[in-house]
Amino acid sequence: MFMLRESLLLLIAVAIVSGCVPPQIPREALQLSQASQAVRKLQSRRFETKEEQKLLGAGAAVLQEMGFTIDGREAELGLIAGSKKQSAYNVGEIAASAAVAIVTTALQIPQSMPFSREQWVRASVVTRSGEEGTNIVVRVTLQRVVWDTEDKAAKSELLKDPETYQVFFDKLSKAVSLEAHE
Amino acid sequence: MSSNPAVRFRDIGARLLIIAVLSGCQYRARDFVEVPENQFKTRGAQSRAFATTDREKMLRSIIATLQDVGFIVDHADHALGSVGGTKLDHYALKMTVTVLPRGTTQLLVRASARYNVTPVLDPDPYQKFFAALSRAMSLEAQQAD
Repeated sequence: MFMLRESLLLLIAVAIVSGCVPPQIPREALQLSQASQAVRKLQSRRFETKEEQKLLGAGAAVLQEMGFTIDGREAELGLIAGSKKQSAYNVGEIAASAAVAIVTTALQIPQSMPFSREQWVRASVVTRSGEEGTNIVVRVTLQRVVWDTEDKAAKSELLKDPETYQVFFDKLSKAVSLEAHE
Repeated sequence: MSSNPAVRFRDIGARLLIIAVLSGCQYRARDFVEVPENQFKTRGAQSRAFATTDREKMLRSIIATLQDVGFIVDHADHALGSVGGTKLDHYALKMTVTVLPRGTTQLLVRASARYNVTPVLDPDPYQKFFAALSRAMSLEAQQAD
């Protein structure tokens, strides 16, 4: 009995102390990886022009056209940053949530499964001179935080869907009347 | 109080536990103005000197490096020599990098990161960031202290 109590006290103490210890940064968080190169390729296009400011301005206009609000810009360093909030409803998730509710209610153990409701998408457009000095490379980066129906951040991630980036570059290419090269 | 040492030990343990529960993880007011001792140790890891005076190239390389390691660049200020970004990967990592002249032939780059709400004091992530920046600049990152 005494041993049991002591063990319980020790367990509670460990739980309290561990609750005060901050979580550690993942080891690879600031490391270049094999995937970095592939992601860079996905996010970048080369334009045969020397007019960096014109490209940057067009990039800001495309972001606005896609519903983003421009939050910051630094023309001297070739940066535009923007963000937008939009719906994150997904038919598959809603159907799965409804299925869980129906099945668990039938089994008399009613449960609800949250599904994605809203997302905050952030974008940055960065321009720089290409290696030859005769072209400009544009790199756009997109991230999102998705909130579910229980107001919890269900996802926070870098977008890696090629189609999303392609849509941006198609619009940019059209805006500056120049071809976007991979 | 019992004379049994085991019981006394248990009572003391229980009291200490109550104090721990009541005080929780609260901070004292002076915690906000004191510089943690281990931050002095981290400062060396957060800074590197580069043998260049091309400030714009350095700032643009910092932006490119942050993008390469998965950040979105939130802000950049040429006049202040500052760049900031956020990485989201099931966690939020915020990073601010500043560039200052160091003598007449070098630039000093200082980085500070915050993992969720906790300042990053571990030197290893900074080492990896400066290795990537060094590669982008094609210059060696030298210890600043």
